[in-house]
Amino acid sequence: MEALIAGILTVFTVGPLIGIVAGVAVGIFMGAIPGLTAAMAIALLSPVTFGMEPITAIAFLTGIYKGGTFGGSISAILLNTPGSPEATATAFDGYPLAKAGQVKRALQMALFASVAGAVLADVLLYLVAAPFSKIALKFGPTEITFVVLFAFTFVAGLTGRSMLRGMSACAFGVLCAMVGLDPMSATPRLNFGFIELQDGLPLLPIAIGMLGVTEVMLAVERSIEKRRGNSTNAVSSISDTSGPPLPITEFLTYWKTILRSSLIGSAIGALPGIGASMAAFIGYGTARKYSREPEQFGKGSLDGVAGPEAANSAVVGGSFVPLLTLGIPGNVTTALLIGTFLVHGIEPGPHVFKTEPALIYGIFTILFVANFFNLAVGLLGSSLYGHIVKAPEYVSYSIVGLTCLTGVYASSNSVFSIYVMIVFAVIGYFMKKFDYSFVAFLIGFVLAPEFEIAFRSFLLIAQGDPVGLLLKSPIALLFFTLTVVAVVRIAWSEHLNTTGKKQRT
Amino acid sequence: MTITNRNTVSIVIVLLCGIALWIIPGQVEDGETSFATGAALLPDLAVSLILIFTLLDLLISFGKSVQSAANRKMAVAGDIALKGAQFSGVVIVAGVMALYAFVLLHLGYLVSSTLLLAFLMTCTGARHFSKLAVITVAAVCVLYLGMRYGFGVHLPVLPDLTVLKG
Repeated sequence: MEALIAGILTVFTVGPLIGIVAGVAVGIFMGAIPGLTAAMAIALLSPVTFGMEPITAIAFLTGIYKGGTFGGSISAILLNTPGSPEATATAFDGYPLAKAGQVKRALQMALFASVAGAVLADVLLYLVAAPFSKIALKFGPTEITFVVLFAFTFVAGLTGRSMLRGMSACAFGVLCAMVGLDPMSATPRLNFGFIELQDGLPLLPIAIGMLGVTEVMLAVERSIEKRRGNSTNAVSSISDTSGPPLPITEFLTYWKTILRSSLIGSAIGALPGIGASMAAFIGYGTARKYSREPEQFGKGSLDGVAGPEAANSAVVGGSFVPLLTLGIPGNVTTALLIGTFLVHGIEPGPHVFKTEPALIYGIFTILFVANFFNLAVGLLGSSLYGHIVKAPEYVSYSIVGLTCLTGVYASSNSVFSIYVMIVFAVIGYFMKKFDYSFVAFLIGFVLAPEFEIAFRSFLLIAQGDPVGLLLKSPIALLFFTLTVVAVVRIAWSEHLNTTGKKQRT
Repeated sequence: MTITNRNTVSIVIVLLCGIALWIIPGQVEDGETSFATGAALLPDLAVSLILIFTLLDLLISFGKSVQSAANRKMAVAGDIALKGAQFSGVVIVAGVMALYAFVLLHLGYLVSSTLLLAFLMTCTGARHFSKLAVITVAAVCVLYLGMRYGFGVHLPVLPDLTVLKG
């Protein structure tokens, strides 16, 4: 109880509260611009949080995550172009509503559903995380090895169109994380004589290069194609955000859709690799399935906005379950958050619940409070949305490019980091072109150090009999079975998909 | 059998994996090696897995293309079109950013950032000089002041004379 009160009190101070407001505003702004995502905003702005108090930094980045999830729906509704991938399903009914003059109702439904979904997910996180962390505390090297292996397989199999390419990307992430000092013998490894690589490849330049600079490269490519007359991407936008509002009493009539989607989003968020986009599509499909007017879907149904928005926002709370209890990030955003946590001396995992309970309750409070700031900033800024989404590409992407460089230089005060960023931006560009999952790469990179220590310890403890040791641990055996089932299931699904017998959704 | 661009990339990855497996032993000081748990374990394992997965991907792709004449199109349909012009974005952005990194300490943050931003805006479609100039100067100033006074990050605003002197 003391820890809970201490956690709440830490958040209700000037720094964290300003951090949440600023984060939510930045998140909504970045999320609203097509092509720019909350993950990119977190990658770009992580370096500036290094000088902040840890709780303020977490508040700021969590605010971006929350705001960015809603922000993506703004351009989906106004432009029919999702600001972020998870808002794709929102466009199906949001844009028809906007075209029918109900733009304010659509935007408010997206905002209210997003906030309601996130609140429900955060309550679930609060209820689930602490008991689950008690189980996770019993995990030794054997269990951690197979839990992480499961996360690798699941993420690699579900974040791209090919499991083999996803697994290759994940293994490449692991390989990149091996640069630096060997964690067990402290001997140099794969640094090719560069003193700057003695501490390993830094996460932020890699993430910023792959997320931010790659998008700038694609924007330049689009501009060149456009000049040559090969591109015809005329977008019809709606800049007037007025119209009849959505009364709260009417919003409450959609409670079943929101509750259903929130549960779907929370469950999907807790599983590594599936992500908010899948949650939004399942939320949309479920809303349609249970709707009294399924024929209205695609023509402008408020249910069709509420379903995906509640689901994709609930993923945020759900994704904090494996992050805080196991130290396993399930998506790019939480992988970046884990990197920033480590910079601030916080190592997420079950032991944090014992050693720093006030911090954990502080994070829960931040997640919860950020929803209400999201609501306030979302409502106050609604008149600006029309202008934000119409920002020319040459302004947004060029400034993103400069921010990438400034952020990376500021994070290390070294131009070497800029070169690392450029190299990984080029790698990221080709990974994107050839469908090698960046998410799988990043999860491999972030989890590799923990996996290496656990895996090598497991082999040492096993004394030449790893199968015997695996069979002695029910949890490890469960995760090993889940890994095998996931591989077979995903491979079979891909096979059916390529042979045209079944369309994977 | 159809060699697609995707197949070509897979072949390049396989070759790079071969080189990596050859390089790794020279780059890793293997200390403790009981039960194969040396420092080279995971790097070797990661490269081997990339090699195996890429070879499997390649074989599946070849298998599909030789199943029948009709299926020959499948590998191409899922292929990635590559044209010289598509790489211009990579070359331009990577080149100008590498140049920026090189001149940052020589010219200082304000000058090098202004030049970079103006160039990037031109490349991404800016046409009006007045708009370009105003946005460039405003963005660089906001970013510098935000970093300096908002987040306490010191950027090299003026050229580093020690660097210039060599």
